Amino acid sequence: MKPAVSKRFTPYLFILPFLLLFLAFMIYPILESFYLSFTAAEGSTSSWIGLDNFRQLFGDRLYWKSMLNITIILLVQVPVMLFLAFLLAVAVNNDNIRGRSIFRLAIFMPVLIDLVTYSIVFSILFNDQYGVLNYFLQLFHLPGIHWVQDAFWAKVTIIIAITWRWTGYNAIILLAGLQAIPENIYESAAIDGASEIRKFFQITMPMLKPIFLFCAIMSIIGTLQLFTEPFLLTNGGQPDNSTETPVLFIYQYAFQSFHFGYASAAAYVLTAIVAIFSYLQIRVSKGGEI
Amino acid sequence: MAGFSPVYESMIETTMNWGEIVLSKKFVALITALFLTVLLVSGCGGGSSSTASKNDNSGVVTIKVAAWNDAADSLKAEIEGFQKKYPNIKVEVQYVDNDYTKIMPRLASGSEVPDIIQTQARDFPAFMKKFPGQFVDVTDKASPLKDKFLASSWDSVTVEGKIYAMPWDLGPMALYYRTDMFKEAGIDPVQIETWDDYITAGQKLKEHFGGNVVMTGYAPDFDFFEIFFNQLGGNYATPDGKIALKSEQAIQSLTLWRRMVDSGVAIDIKDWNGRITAVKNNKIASVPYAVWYAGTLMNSVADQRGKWGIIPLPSFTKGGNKQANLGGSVLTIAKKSQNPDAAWKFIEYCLATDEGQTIMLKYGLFPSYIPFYDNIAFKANNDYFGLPMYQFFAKQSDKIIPLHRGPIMLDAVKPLKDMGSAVLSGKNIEESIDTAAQEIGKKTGLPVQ
Repeated sequence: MKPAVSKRFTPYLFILPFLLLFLAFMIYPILESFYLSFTAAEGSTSSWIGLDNFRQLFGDRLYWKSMLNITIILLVQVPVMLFLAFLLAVAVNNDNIRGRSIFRLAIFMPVLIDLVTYSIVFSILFNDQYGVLNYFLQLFHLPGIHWVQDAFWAKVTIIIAITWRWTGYNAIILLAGLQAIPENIYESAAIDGASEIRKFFQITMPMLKPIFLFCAIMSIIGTLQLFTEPFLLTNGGQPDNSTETPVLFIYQYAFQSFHFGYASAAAYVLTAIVAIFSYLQIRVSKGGEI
Repeated sequence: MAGFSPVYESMIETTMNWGEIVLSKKFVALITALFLTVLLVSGCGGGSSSTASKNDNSGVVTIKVAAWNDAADSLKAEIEGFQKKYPNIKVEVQYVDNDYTKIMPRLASGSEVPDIIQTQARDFPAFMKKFPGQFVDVTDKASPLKDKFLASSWDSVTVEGKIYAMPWDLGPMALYYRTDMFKEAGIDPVQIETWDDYITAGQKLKEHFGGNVVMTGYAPDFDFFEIFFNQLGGNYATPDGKIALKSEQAIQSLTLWRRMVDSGVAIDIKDWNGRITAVKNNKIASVPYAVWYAGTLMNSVADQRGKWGIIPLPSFTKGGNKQANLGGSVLTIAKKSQNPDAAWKFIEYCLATDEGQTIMLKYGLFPSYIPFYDNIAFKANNDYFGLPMYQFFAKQSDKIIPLHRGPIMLDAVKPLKDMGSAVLSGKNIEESIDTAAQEIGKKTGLPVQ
């Protein structure tokens, strides 16, 4: 009997330390935040107000503007980034390149740089007075662009920054997907007389579909939680809230004006939206079945 | 488990044997109970000894003070003199940031609250509202000092007739300008009486330097708005707590700001550091800012010593009010402090004595404490600017119109920033003001006038 008992309990013993930390630092805050979303918690005061936060949230123009902003950024950035990542993956997949690993390292490196550092460097590059980008534009006799002062260009700046950062990461994942496609499929297609283009569209693309789906979902979930770039690059959602994001909104309400209840409600609405969206995405692409 | 290395196998064997011994049901129950007890005890224990100040039996108390940047430095410098007077009170200065991100969790949870907390003067009423009952009523200790401090400085520390904090420093405004650049461009600073003159001079300067130098820089905050708003006598809230942002003064302030930017007289320097960079690179020729900026100029661009002068702010109309206030902090005692009397003694020493204010002055903190204005140190000449700077600023502070804010500032920061941003990007001024007022009203729960 004893060996059976210890075999049953030993795994739990191994998990216990992680489990305790998980309960304390993940589960507890999630539940506490849920509770807070039904209160008017502000500073050190709190009172139960039921669904009032949610009612107010649905009429909050800034919140929905932040949702609109993030959707626009998403709709542009994710496809552009995945397309570029795919090109990079195909390029680096070629066996004839020398120094392949160096290229792979190079395209992956942006991901390794911490968010704050790269945001600050980008803000210098995109500075409309002294930045390198405007300098190049002026070399070609083009007017300098007000990168972070103009509502449209501020979004572009954010999109460029995110794309630069994450393209390499997705490229490496797509590369892994490319390499997992068995060679013999291409060979048999070649024997059957398929052109390169046909091979590309009817073998490569479909076989990569699950990977694309994975990258798309991860990118969308990541971009929906965008915070650091607008906080540092565009000075907290400026100009005129054109780069305000939902997480920035939550941060401003929670940590700048201490409205913990309202911020928690905003956080849960965002979570619900992300969850619904992810579910729909998986359904629409049929779970990545080829 | 065939196929694993012998070492690995024996490790698993040992663990499983150990598991066998340790994990009988009784043992698990015992361990869990012990663990929970320890958690409970440490949690409770943490709660009761949560306050920062300590009391040991020899009568020596330690108080903790939370402040930021130069202000914290100045408090640290005070400790030596303070200890001579009160050897039984030890002081520890904790460095926090001026966004309150370190202080807020402590106030919200009520644990490890420092004895003395610095807040910006404009934010203090909002702190009173969001953390009710967390600050000590010092009315009976502060009332005797009432006429020793500038009248306008009591507004932010008095709530419903009672005083909950002491006014520390003030931010009387003036115009810092580059004497060499003005001279080169042929601008006579004495001739700049109104903001219209300022804009004209700015255009002249820009033309002369071919766009390489501009008159001034602005950041996407609402400093410029507040400067103009205060000059014109605007108020954010009425005494009975209504948001009074929608006003003629607000419209005028925003109109002037937009004019300055559109006419190329002010460029976007992004933030505090961007301004310093612009100053260092000789890109801007003047900075309308408060007395506390002198320290920044002296420390960050020490090599421009002798090139900067100071004149009073331009006014809206000829002969109109030139004075305004921007900034200033207060010191408050936390209710959770175990040594409020010791804390008061420290605050009193630093802020209401000449010796205390002498040190404050070294850090560029302009006193609201009037008796100090007669002190020798106050009247000293400043090498960097070539004039008795503090006396100059004292003359820029006697007619400052008190700006009544109400408990809105923490909530109002974003709406006001958005208002400035909207106006500068071309949106209708009155609509932007209205949007901001509505947002502030929504966030604070106060009615809009």
